[in-house]
Amino acid sequence: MEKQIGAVVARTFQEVCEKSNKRAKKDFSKISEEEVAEIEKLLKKIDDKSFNFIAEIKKYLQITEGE
Amino acid sequence: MLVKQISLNNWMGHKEISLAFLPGKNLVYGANASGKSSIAKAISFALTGLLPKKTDPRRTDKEMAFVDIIVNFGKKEGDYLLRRQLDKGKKPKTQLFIYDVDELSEALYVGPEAEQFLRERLELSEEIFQRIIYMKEEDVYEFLANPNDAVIKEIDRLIGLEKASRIENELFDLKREVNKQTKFITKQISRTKAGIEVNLGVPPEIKGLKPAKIEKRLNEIENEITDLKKLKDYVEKRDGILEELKTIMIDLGEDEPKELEVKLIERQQTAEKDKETLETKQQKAKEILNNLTSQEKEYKATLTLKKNLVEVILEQKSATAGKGICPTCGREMDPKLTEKVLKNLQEELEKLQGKLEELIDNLKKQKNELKKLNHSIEQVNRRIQYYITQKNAISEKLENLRTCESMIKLFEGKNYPQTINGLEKKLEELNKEERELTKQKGILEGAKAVSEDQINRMKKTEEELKHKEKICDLILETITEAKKKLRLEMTSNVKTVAEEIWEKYKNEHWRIDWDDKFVPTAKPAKAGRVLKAYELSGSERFLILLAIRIAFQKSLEQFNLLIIDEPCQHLDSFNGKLFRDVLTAIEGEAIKQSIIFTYNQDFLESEWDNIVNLSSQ
Repeated sequence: MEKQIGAVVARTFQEVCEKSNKRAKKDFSKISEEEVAEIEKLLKKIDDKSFNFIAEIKKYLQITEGE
Repeated sequence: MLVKQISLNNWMGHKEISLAFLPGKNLVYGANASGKSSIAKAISFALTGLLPKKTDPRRTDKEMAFVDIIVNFGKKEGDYLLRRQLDKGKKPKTQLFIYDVDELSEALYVGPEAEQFLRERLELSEEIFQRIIYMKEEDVYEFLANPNDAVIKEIDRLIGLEKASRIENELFDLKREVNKQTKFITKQISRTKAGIEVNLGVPPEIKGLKPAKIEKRLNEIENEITDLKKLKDYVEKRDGILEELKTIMIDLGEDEPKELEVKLIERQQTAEKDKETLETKQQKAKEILNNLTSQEKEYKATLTLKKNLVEVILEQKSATAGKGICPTCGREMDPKLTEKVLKNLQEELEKLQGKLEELIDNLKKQKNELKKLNHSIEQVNRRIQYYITQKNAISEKLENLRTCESMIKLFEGKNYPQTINGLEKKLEELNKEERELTKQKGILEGAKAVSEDQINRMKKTEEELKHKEKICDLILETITEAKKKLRLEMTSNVKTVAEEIWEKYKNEHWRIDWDDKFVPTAKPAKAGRVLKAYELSGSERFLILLAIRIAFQKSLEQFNLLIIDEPCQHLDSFNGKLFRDVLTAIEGEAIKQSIIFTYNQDFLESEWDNIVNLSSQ
């Protein structure tokens, strides 16, 4: 089994967001608890070979090419 | 996991071969082209299912090929035989069979089920196999060739940070895409207003004008129109007065309107003098008429008296036979005298009658004269009245004229036209401009309302995109942080292992550290100073590579197998020995089984738990 990094990345994401929210002045810079939770879920899965993180985050953020 | 045995049929250079491995240190020794690497590749194929790249591993495609490997996965399970079968034919089809070694008559799992069973035990891809278990000569060479960042690359590969870096790169692309969209929408916001103006057909000369500016111009126009209307009224009034005065001036033979009043006063005065003269004449005529009337009365009274006297004398005469009574004294007069008196009276009567007639005639004349005088006075009075009226009217007109002119003078600084035609033309132009601006103001206000709505919607989208960008940034920051954490953890392990190995087997205090870019730095005692990775010797770098592998194996309990294919080609005999010593002395806890493939006879001198000599097979 390959070394798992998803859990570390997800935990780090939570820490990074907490720090960022404290600094954030504008609304669009703040990330909600729900968003943190959802993205954490995705980050936890990055060790899974069949999981395409970029495709999933695109889907979650509703980013389409040339939006 | 422990590899206990491998059997190959029709596999690469081997027609049929079977090798047994033991826990601990295994050495597979063989000359060049004796099939050492084929065996290593067979182990990889058996565990991962992936065929060697580029070449068909079957010795001949006319027969089936088998790679059988007996493994123990630990976890208190028994041994399993994994059979990878390659069919004959042009393209080799592979299939996995898993047997319990104590019951080989029937496979426990076949095909996908077998793959699933193996995946559950190992989750071992070729990549992981290559990365963790199988250390090739090329790895060593590559590592030695790129000492500067090879260490951290190797660590990143081992701890799976390659996938983090891949996500990082893709996230950069994604962020770029979001940023492109944000910039696009920001640009769109600034263009929308202008775009709407164009689409609504705002003409170019108005386009630059903001509604506030149009409003200002409209106010200016309104004031100008009010001014011009007033000016027009004054000019019209002035021209009307001048026209009226012109007629009077012609009447009075005067060229200067302001002199009209004086002229009229002069005329009035003349007329009043005429009147005075006429009235004097009238007075005299009246007096004469009165005199004549008195005379007429006297004449008439005298005539009546005389007539009465004649009648009395005649009556007396007829009564007294020709004797009459003296009208003066009353005494009887003789007929002669009577006749004479009568004759004289008759002559007096005739004269008196004649004078009376003359008087009456004069009286008539005088009356006519008086009548004429009255008429003349009446005319003069009318003239005087006319002059007074005219003078008053002209005074009023002149007063109005002066008012008009002073009002007109107030507009002098504004450079307005001075004629009615000019003013009407200017008013028409201003009215037209006002209509056009009002229309455009409406369009702009409409456009503003529409664009504000649209811009608000776009701003919302812009904020959403910025939020998405922020999330990308946070994930990127997270990956950087996580990489740092994992690297710190791993480099700390590597440091410990490398220092232990070095101290134990080279009998030299050797301290490894990492700089801010995770490049290893070391201070070997003999060097007396801190050396960067690229300053280290080949053996020292290789030691670090080995330390990295061992440290990693220590962090992953389930992989305690190490396969190294021709490890020491780049090392001199001293360092080669050192490396062999290190390999043969690897603690069982870290690497429970190592299989080293080499052609180097020197390896035979070291202590091994199992030596397989391919040359004697």
